[in-house]
Amino acid sequence: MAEQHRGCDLARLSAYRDGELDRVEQQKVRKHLQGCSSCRSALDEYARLGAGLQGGRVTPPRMLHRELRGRLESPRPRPWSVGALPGLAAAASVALVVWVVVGGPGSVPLAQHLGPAVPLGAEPGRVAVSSGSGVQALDDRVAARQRPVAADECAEPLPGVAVALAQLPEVRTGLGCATDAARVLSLVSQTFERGSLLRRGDTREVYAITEDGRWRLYADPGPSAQAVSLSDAGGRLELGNWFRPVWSVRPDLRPMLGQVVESQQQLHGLVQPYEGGLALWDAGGRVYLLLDGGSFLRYLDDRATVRSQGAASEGF
Amino acid sequence: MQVRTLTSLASAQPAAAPAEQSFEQAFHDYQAGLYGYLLRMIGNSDDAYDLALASFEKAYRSWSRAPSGNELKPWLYRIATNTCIDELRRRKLVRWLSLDGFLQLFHPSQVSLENPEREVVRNEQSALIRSAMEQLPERYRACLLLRECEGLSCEEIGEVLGMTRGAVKITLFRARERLRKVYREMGGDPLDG
Repeated sequence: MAEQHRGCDLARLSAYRDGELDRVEQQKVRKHLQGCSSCRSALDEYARLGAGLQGGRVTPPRMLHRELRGRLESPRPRPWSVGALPGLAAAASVALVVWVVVGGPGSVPLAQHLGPAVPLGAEPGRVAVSSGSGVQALDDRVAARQRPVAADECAEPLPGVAVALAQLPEVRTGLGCATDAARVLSLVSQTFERGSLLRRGDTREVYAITEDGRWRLYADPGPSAQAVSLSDAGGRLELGNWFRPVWSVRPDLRPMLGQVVESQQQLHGLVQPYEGGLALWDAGGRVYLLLDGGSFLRYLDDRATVRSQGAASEGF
Repeated sequence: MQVRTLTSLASAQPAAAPAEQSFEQAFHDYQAGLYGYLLRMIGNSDDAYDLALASFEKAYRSWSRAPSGNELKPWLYRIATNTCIDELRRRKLVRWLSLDGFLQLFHPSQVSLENPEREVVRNEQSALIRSAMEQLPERYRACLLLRECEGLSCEEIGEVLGMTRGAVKITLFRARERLRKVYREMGGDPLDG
């Protein structure tokens, strides 16, 4: 949200910086700046931010020309997918700041999404369960988590979560302490244009985690649900078999999630309840923190030392 | 030994080069700027290299449609921007932030205010500003970089991003305000003079 100083127009100031004002407007702005320290400060800040972006001179690697020539000599055009180029695959370990804080059209500070747990009975807009028993089961779990937990009752958090709890006050506030030990479970996940689906093998529930910053919960109707066409999810990849039942009974998932981007993945993982939500960790080191307020965080626990203890008893 | 140039490769491609400028000349004129722009957009040199390669290859394949004169630069940057944004969006879906990156995001490197070395403070500020940039939507990021680092006019940025000049002006304003906000929320110190 733009700061609004009385009588000031920061948008015009921005245009002034870009030389987009006519001569008359420029003079007006210059005159205004003479008497407005706030706007002078804002203009200076724009300039400093611009300077900070520039950094030093950048020189491309010399082999760029040679490699380009080699490619252009290739008899067949190469696909445009950057992922097909060497280097990116090797750089897969490079961390990028993507979609850590809740998604949507832009970044949103973490603090805004760690609100208090939604009280039972309120309309959280976060839960959509397709069966009555699922609603009751979920409410029971939420109620259980909302019991105040004495400090000495806190369970040992998952290592990948413990680090975040220890170092980030916002996570500590939102998630609270672990209310039970972590348990092994089977997880199935699939990524779409605008989010992901996660299926828990222990509870047979499906989480939809979406770019709007919310997570939603669905009960898996099971294989008896009407089968969907494999092309219903669109795109070149198939909708995973574990998600076809819920997809068939929840037509809202398609517009919410968009097309399939990655194939379905089946992994073992760990789940742990917290005062303020739930932590899911899969054997790939991916951590999901699902907060009762309806928001989520996710990151890759590349320090993972916890491994699945073996085959999950819950099965799929 | 005959040295093949990029221009000589035109025989491998039915597209004819614009009369005013050969592709090789354009490559040499714009490779540094384009690479730097992509580096600031994508955040690391390996990926910037791959994106630059892909962008120039695409430009070469479309060289018959390349404009001439002052319109060539926005055309090249448009190709690069689209390539980069497509990749950023793809990664948004399938790439994960490491735990260290996650922690760093919310606790950026702390600069001791007692450190008398202003250059260190400035470098830290620049790093924080670039980190803050990564929180901006791709279009905001592209607008700011094209304006502040590549020196494109609002009209040229509009050509790159497929926007009107007025829309570019508004986007630049919103991008600057968002960047200021994120920078402060990440713990950025007041930008010193």
